[in-house]
Amino acid sequence: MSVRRVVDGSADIVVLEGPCPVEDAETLAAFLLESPTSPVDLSACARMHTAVLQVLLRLQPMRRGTCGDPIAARCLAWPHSNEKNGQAAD
Amino acid sequence: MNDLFEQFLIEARELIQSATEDLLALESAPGEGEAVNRVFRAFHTLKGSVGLFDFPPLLEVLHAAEDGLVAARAGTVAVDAILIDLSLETLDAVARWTDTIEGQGDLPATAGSEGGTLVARFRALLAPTLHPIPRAAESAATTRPDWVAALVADALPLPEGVPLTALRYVPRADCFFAGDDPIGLVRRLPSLVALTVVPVEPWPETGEHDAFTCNLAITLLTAEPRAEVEAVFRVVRDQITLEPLVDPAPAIGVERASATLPVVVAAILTEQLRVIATPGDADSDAGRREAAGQAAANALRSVRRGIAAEACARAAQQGREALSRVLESVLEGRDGVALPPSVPLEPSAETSRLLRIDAARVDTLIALAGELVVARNALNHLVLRAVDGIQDAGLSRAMHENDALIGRLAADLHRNVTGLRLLPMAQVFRRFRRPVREIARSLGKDVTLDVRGEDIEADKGIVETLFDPLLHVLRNALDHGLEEPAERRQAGKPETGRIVLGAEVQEDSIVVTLSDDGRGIDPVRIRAAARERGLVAADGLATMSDAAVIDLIFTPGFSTAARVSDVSGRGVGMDVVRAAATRIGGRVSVASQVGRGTTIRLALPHRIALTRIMLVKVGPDLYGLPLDSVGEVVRRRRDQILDLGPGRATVHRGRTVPVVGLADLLGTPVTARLGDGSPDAEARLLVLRSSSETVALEVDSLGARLDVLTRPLTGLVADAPGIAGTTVLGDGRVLLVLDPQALLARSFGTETSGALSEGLP
Repeated sequence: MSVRRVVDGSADIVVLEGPCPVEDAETLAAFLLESPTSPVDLSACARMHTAVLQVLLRLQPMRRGTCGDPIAARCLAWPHSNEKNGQAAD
Repeated sequence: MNDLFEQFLIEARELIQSATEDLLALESAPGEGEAVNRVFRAFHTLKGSVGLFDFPPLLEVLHAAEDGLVAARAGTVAVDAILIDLSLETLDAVARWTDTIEGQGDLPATAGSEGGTLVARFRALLAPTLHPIPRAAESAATTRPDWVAALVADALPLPEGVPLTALRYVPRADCFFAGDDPIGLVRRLPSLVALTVVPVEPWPETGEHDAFTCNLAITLLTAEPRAEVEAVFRVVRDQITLEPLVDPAPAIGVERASATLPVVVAAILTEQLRVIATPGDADSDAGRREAAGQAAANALRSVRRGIAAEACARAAQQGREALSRVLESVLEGRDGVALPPSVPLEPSAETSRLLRIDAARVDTLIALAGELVVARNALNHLVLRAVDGIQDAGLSRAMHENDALIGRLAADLHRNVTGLRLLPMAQVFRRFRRPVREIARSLGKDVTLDVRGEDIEADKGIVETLFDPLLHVLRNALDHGLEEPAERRQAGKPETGRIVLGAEVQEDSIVVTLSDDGRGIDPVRIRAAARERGLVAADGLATMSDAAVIDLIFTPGFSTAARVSDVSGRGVGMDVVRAAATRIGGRVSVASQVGRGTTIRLALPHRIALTRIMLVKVGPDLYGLPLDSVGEVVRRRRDQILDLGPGRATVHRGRTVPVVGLADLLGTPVTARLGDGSPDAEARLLVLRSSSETVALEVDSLGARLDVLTRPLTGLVADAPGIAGTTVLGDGRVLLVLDPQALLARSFGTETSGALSEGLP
């Protein structure tokens, strides 16, 4: 599975790994709605589907690491994506 | 291209044709409800066929037109000139796009915006207040939308000197369900300058998040050429908007022009631009310029851009600047010499090679083939008897009978098979109604076209090559033949002009005539024009009959039109008609009476027949000459050929006949020539049969006479002058069959285009 929740010390982290197909969008959304403060680690994500990207844009989680998918990284780098949380993730 | 697609092309063209005819009929008799129904059905079927493929703009346009016609059927929209014009324009666009799809496998780049405009016009026609003008038309109207400005502001500073394309892609909300990955498409653009992804609608503040509904708008700037971008987003064309950002530099003219010129031709033109831009010394410059001009002209002629080709050839004579200007303007599609857009483009030479055949004809063929098999079995039986050594009178009689039977069947089969290629003249005649209407309208003249003998059949090759030459004749008749309405009234004629296009069978040829009841051709004017242009020597002109003088209109470079109009009168035309007719073994003649009208008569063979040729050798090369152009073959001692300074001549049958070396006509290098220059040696001369002058053509040696099927040249060399066609010899070599008249006309006539050898691959 390319979306995982791991326990890192005290907090849960959501990790995206390898290719993240369209189905991952729902899983990711479910995780983030359940625990909105969990950061998402994108550094191991190789290829992000647009639906997954949309979840990240919509829910604006904290992000960890530079996104492994350069095109997705560019989409996420657009200023508006961090307006709400004010976090500079990558 | 698959079968389904080929079927679509055939069907689409038929539907376009029939809908066009019905619309024209509606125009003359607006009340005919059944015609409206037929037009609607044609559009409806067309839409259904298009739906099988992925051409969204085409589908949208047809859908809008169908809506318009539904309203017309229901009576909520008037069947008037506006609806008919709009429908005809739509059919034109569809016809052009279909041609482009056939040639390039996809719609032209302009289809989206052009289609948007048509759709908007149909919507406006239906109910201007109910249907807002769609987005496509809007974006075409505004110069630089906000989203582009925002994108550019974000991407500053822009890379310099690189033409950019801005793209806005709003995927459909359900695109994820359709398996689309919009960002996946973006990944396929290698050179992204800027990329933004924003929600289309503001995200809902609270509530469930639907992960599978797409609410994103992607905008990007790319350095990829527009065509590339379109190729990547081809499948979602209805969801994207493209805006070119920087005026592309001439270097990328190829991409821009590819919409109008085939890529290979555009590439050739671009290459010529590069060639002439390279500096060199003055001598080589001139040669290079001429070669470049010639190459460009040949390339343009191959795609029927004759006028642009002429412009290139002329500019090459004038200088480097002139040539590069012409080339650039042709590449950028602003040479302004394309046909007026309202006239349907002539289909390309590569139009479908499919043939529709009546099933009954196929049944006859199958029956004949079956009989042939039976006859052959009988022969086999007889052969076995012969092998067994049974010698009796019965055997030889039976073999004779069998031979006669097989002979009869073979002849029947041949006749029926060649009959498969016969098409009714209607196929070409009916295509004229539309151009006649358009041209007459643009000239402000009223005309009726009367078509006769539509059901006369001729070979497919002949019927299909008739369109271009007849269109030329038709344009001339409309433009120069028919008078202005006021002038006609003064002359006591009805204001509406009349053109009769007819076909009839006369002996073994088919005669196609096109007559107008216009002002006729005035021999006095032709004489004056011929003298002015030096087409015929002054004393020769004095002795010519009026009929022979009028025949001069077929001379290359002849045009008496006082003004150049969009329609005709560019000095190209009637010679093209004669050349085209000659190519398919026909003859053209003209008869005219001042004040009464002009008739152009094309006598054509029923089917493309075998040509009898004579092989001749010039240096190491073998050529064919059509035997019907050769009057006599004579051998003449070299000391009987006199060098007269500008040329050579000999006395033949008491007349002085100029002697021309075929090698000189063809530009064969001197070193390659064989032959013995000594006075005792004999020269081989072919005395050419010609309407105007007798010329002896000198060749190095004569070869066999053959019956061959010549094929006209196609593609880039289609208009290589002086070549009637090619044929394949028994040993597999390709033989060029020359057209001696055209070769002579080129050398001594008015044409000044480059050497023949440059016209060959």
